Amino acid sequence: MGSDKQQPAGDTEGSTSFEEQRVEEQVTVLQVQGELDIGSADALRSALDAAEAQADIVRLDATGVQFLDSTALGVMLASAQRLAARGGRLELMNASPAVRRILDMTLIARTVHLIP
Amino acid sequence: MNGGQVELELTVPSTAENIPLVRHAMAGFLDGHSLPGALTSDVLLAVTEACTNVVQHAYRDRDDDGDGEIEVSAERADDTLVVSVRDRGRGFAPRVDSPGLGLGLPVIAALTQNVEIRPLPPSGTEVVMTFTLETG
Repeated sequence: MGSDKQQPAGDTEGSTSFEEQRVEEQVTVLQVQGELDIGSADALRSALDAAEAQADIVRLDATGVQFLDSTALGVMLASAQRLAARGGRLELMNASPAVRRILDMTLIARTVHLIP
Repeated sequence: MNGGQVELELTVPSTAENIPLVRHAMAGFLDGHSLPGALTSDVLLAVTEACTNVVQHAYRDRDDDGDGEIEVSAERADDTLVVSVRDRGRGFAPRVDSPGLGLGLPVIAALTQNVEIRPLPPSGTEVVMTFTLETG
């Protein structure tokens, strides 16, 4: 159950950064800092790919996410679908009201599991 | 709002890296108007979606002539904010090989009080987004 901190899974794209932590055998937490849009979509995709390789449940901690658009949502949706196909899931925790707004608007909350 | 005074005008090369630049410039503009935080978030998201559409679609038929440009303007009247995003690209058309989810325009429509998509002669597209400012 202990936190097993690993090397940063993704990298830094502009002012957006990604750090991966394995907190349980089947859960990997991806802490994201910055803005998620078309400019950081490739880095988000890489970070999620790496997290998916670690566990069936990927928990994206959005505490440090200041902005998220539909391009980033598309990347998250693809990850959620890959994980679901093997019995896992993508979780999103600590989303700001602005981030939750676009999730609700696009109904992606049906695919990405929201954690308060 | 044709008679309104243009309060923000910005032209940047149409690249993904410039979209945060546009967003931050718009955030600075909005800061000066003391808008509610939720409305500011809506405007920034809508502008980002419109600019992303330009980057993904407007100039994709160009070879190596360099990127086109994104033109953004904003003006505020008493109770409305009108934001326009323009390109001089190929014009608005459906795309079966779109790299995105196709959520950009629906998101814009959900965030705005009104959105108009106009052809821009001789070529290009203008997306005009109107937001109603909450008063009181």
